[in-house]
Amino acid sequence: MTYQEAVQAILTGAAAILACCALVCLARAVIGPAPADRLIAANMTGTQVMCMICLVAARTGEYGFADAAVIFAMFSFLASAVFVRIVTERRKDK
Amino acid sequence: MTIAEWVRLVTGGILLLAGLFFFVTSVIGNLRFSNAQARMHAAGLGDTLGILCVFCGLAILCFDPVFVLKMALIVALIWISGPACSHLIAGMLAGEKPGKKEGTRKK
Repeated sequence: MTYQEAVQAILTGAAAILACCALVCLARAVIGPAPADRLIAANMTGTQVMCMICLVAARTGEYGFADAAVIFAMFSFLASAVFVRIVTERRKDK
Repeated sequence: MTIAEWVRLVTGGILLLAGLFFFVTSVIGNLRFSNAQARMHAAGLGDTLGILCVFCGLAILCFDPVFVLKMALIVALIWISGPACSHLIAGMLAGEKPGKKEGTRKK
């Protein structure tokens, strides 16, 4: 087993574990009773997906995939800020 | 494999495993904790330490300068936007409007 094969095996396993974590987090986002619970779970899912993108980028050797993770990090914060604004506006209207 | 490759493999693998451990812990905490503040605390664990450990392990396992710089940029972005996001969520839980706190601004 060469170095490259060992690294690829490790990265594949790590990406699989992270995928399971992201799915469980997504389930929390679906069942979470309050809007805040959903938002926290969605944020965690976003972080884990960023890690997964970088792992897959290293696994396939296409390091340019990491750009997608950078954009993801910027837009996930924007999304959560907009989500908070929408929830508070709706609460004010009632 | 040479000795240097073994050392790289073991250190990178241990860091990667530590990051995965923090992620799994934060997911379990997010599932089991009872209220939203405690869940936010659990989420912060994976968002800070987990992502740092995973990216450090990745940088050791397959080193590429541009790739490492991009990962450092992601960690910096997460570390800046995570606390801001938690602040917004905490404000939402306390029932106040984001950005307009009484006493900090005129009118």
